[in-house]
Amino acid sequence: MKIESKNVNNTLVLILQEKRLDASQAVSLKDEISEYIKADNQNIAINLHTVEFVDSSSLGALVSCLKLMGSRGRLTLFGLNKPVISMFKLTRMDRVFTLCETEEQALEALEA
Amino acid sequence: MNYTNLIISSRFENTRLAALCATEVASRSFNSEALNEIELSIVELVNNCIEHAYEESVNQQVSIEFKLFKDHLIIEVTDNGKALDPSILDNMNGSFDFDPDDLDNLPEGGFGLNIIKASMDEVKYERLNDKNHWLLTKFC
Repeated sequence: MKIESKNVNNTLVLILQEKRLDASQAVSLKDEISEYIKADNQNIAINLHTVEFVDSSSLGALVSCLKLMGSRGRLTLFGLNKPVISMFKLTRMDRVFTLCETEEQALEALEA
Repeated sequence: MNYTNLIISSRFENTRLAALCATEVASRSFNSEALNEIELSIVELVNNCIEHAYEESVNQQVSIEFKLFKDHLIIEVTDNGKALDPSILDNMNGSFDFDPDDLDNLPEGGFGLNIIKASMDEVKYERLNDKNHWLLTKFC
């Protein structure tokens, strides 16, 4: 799993470098993001702009990360492509996650 | 009728081959939204075969047949794994009921068959000759 990271103010921005998030990636997706959460990063924004496909196992991995974050801090997703947004809407996970269009909006949402 | 048959071994990374084949077969007959639904459905179904029928045993066979007609696509998926309780499929209605505010109890799995039901026009399952036989239909 290729993930780049940068710090912007008090937020860790994770930039996924994968085109597809499927069952072969789900475990490493969950494990790697979980490590960032356990490292006490309280604001995390995940950039999904390279991702063109998400299946239910990777969606479940993201849900697991959101639950792990819990009351420790906040996690947002941004840069979602149309098929990825459709997946979140289909499974009604668009009501669970904070989904933003741009990094700027994601940072604003985390700081609000 | 345009017929394509793809046989893959039961590895999660091979769902990409199934997705590629499905979108290639369907590309001239469906719009982008429908293509996304077809791609998602075949990936979820092959995931289901590998995870539940074969219990993640690798190098088992999953056969996928694509039959493209003038106004619809039929995808037939066959595996030799464990049988599915048909009532599981019957009880799914393509909706996702959970409380989005109850963080601790958010579902992390179990979406696959519901996604397929919500994305395809018809989903049928049969156990025939010790094989699982799935038939998905999408109208253009």
